[in-house]
Amino acid sequence: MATEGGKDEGEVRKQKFGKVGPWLHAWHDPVASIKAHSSCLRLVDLNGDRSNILLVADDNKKMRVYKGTSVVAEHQLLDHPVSMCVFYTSGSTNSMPAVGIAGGSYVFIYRHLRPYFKFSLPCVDIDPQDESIWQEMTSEGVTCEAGYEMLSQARDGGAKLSSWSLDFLSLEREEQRQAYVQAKKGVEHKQHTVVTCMETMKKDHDAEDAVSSLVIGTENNQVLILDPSGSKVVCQAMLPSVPTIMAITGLYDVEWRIVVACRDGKIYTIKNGESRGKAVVTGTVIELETQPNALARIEKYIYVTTMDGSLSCYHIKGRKVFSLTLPAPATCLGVAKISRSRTLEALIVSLGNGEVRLYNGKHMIHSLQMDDVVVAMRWGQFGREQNSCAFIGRSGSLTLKMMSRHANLEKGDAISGPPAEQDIPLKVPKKTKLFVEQSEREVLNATHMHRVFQRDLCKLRLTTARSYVKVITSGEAGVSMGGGGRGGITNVRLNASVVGLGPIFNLKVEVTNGGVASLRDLPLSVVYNTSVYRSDRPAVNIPLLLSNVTITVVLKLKNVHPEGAGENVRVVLGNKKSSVPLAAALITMPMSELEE
Amino acid sequence: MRDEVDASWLALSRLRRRRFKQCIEGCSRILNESPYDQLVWTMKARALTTEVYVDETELEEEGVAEILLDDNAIASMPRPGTSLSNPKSSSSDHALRPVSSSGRPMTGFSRPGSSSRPMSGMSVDQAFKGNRPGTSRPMTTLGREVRLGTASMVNQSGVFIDVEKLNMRKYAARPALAMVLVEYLLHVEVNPRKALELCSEATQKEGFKSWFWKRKLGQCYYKLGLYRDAEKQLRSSLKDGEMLLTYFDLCKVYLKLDIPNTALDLLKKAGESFREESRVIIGIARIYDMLNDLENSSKAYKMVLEYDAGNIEAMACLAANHFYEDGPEVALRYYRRLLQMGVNNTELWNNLGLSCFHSSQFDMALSCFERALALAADDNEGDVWYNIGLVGVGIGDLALAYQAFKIAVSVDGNHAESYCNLGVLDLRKNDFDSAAAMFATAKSLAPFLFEPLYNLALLMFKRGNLEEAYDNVKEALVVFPEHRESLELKKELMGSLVGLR
Repeated sequence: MATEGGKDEGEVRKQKFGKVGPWLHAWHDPVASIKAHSSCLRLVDLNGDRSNILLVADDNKKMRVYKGTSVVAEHQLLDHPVSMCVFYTSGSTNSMPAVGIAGGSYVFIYRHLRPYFKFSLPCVDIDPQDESIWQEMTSEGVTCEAGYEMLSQARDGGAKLSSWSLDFLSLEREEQRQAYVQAKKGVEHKQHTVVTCMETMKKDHDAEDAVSSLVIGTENNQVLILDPSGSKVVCQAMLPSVPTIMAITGLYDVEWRIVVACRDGKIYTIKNGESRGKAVVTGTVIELETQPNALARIEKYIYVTTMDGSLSCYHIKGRKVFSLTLPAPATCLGVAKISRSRTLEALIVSLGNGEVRLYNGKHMIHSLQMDDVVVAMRWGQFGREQNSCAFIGRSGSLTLKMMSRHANLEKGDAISGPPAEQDIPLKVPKKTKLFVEQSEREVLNATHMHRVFQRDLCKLRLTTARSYVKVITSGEAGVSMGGGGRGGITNVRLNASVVGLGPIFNLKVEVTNGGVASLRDLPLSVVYNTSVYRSDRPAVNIPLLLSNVTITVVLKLKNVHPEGAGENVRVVLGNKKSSVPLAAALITMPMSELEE
Repeated sequence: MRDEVDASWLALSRLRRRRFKQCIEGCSRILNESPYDQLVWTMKARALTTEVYVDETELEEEGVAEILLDDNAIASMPRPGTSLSNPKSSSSDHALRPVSSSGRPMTGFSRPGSSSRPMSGMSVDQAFKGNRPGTSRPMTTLGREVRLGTASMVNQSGVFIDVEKLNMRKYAARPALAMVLVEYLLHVEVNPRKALELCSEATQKEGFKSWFWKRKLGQCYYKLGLYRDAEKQLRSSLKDGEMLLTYFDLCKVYLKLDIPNTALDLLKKAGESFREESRVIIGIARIYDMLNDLENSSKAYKMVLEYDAGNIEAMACLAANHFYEDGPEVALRYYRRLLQMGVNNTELWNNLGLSCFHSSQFDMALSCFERALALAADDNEGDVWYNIGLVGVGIGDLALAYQAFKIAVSVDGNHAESYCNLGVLDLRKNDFDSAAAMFATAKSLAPFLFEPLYNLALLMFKRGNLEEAYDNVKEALVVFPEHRESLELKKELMGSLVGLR
């Protein structure tokens, strides 16, 4: 399962491309069957031995711990994980980090991979109108029916209802509603909210194992910052929409800034206020053209990929720096932070076509084609290798790649000038000798040719017009002109097809009225040679034909010819007011199978 | 005087002069008197056989059952270019050249079997529709075979040979009689099982060394649908005696098995033994055509013309190739040559007219269409009117074009191309509802055309119905994956659909 293919692959690539890409292959497990997104994937030093492990909160309620190439532990989770964060609660050296896993309206905090503590999101204020109606209903001040009416009025009036009310309003039968109200008697009316995203923020200094705290985005538009122990909210901010993705920089005690992409397709910025414990939503709002699907922050720039398959970069102040069109929509974004002589940060973008690209600013440094579409990735230290990246594929595969120490992540030499295609001449077919001869003939006999052509054209117009008139008068155009001479143009289409092998055929006739007015009382009949076909019901009446509604009529025809020969059959849609049919169709009948 | 002529001699003479009916009558008379006259019996059998003989080397129309229940193909997802159902895509041709229902460019010669090869996942409805819905449709296999058999039996009083009572072993001992009998069984009685019995007896008698019996065995197996057995017998027959017809039989078996490249190799090998045999080369050309390899097929057709300057099929295909590859003046020459060869039908005049029009020989163009119309029958009149409509569009006379397309539609209610063009003309008149209805009709009639799908998508897009536009453009791209305009429209639609404002 595990392959040590780093060296071989590198050599193959060397032969193929002449130079080695920045990625070294470390490990690939095609059947890891992991279902997780980027925020549920963390690389962390869990044991304090400077050897990082991979922690995965799987969507099928499992937490898995990968050490090296094997799963060392697996724990059942209490809920579907939304996000998983690792944070340090105390500043002492060699302290063990806590793991916070958000699910539903709780954050479950684990220590030593054992459940330790549960943080519940604070309850949401309930609309006073809603609250009072429930109070009256449970104390039987009003009947269930009256409560129902009041609640639906409140809903129509635009009030934000609690989940109780919404559940109640969705009940269809009276007894169900009464049972619901009964069940709620004596229960405290609380409205919980749920976690939508979660990240961490360092407290007072920036180090790998510095004290940090959880930052939680909730469904009721809030962003909460907890204290390092994860027991209480120390700071909160209200956004105009539901936060979905967050990128955090800075220290809580000094200065911090949270960039939040929200469900309304806008990016808001929250930063620390004047006094400690206060948060301010700044006026800088970045409006995106389409929904964002990933967000990353490098230095002063916000990188965001959107559903229309573009990668955009904005300055933290809201100014757009550039926008690139990707060959496929991005699936996730990551930041590769490489600390060498100087720290360098590159953007990792995984695309829907299985590509993983590396960007430095707007310059693409490298593109790697993976076997699978990457749906989650995490950059960090794995084992003792500092520059590693874990990828989860759509099929559940797990891949670990390392960044080569010799990789050059500086801006690649961008190709400038006109594209290479410009130098390839177009394939213009050369003109034959015949063509030249013919054009000479044209030049010599221009007048004659023109005259003959004009004469022929007149003749052709006449023939066409005559045939057209014939078609109209027989109603065969499928479109008839003014049936019944009422002046109005009716537009009835008749489309017939034959189904069956014989001797009994089904004639499927589709009649559509393309006009504006509806038509009534239309006789539809099939005309055939009686020595070849027989029908029990050769005519039907269509009582009403509404405009733009297709009516299908099935007529049965039996072939009675001794050798099963086929003959043309006409379907005619008549009109009570005129002898000219509204529409007619000629059907070529196939040869019939003989009756046994 | 005539009474004095020996009746059996007369019958023989009539057989040679291909007066089969009279020959059969004469033979029946003699056989009534002396039922055991082997000479007369042989003559009658031969006359009956020759009367209904089908050239087995020609490709045949595939029946409904074969289309729907074709499980002989080896791979269900063959690589492009290795199977008839997944021919090489030729993107540039798609836009320039009309296609048949399987998405293959039209060749210049209408021949059975080449265009009705099933695409994967063909529905029963589609299978019954045939190439052009309404005008033709595949028969059931038995329908085809039985009808050939019954047609000859009707004229005949009483049964000539009671197949069930035949003692195959007795006949197998007399090779001359057996050879006549097996042909009779295959072509008149259409009873491959009995024929197989006779063949196996006969080949045993000959010590498994006779190419004739092995070939017949192969043919029997082929008719019974046992293609692998047929292949074995035919291969073995070729070892005993290299016959051109055996090569053709084997080639047919390979095409049924959907391994066209093997068939090609076989024909090339036959070409080495039978040099200057135009039928081999035309076989090669046909297979290239089926594989959409127009370059090689044109080469082969040219070679055919070198050996057989009067080959109509090769000429027609070359003409069509030239016409669609922007060489109407060359096509015109080929069509003129066809005319000199004595071909005089609607299609030819129609093509002549089109070639004249496109190579700007206007004085001749329209009179050609007139002649085409004069000769036209029900099944091709629609096409002529459609082309007149195109001429109308070409010279900017839209009223003429509109009328011509309308007539085309009325003559041939399934003429999807005309419906599509009517839709475009309706669009110019700002009659959007009618245009949409026209495109929808064209789409339902011919799902293999990308034009109505794209037009409908564009119309829907312009009217703001993005979802429907997206559905249609997606369908258009299934039919013609490289269509640039569709790709652009899809991109724009994607942009509009994911956009927030």
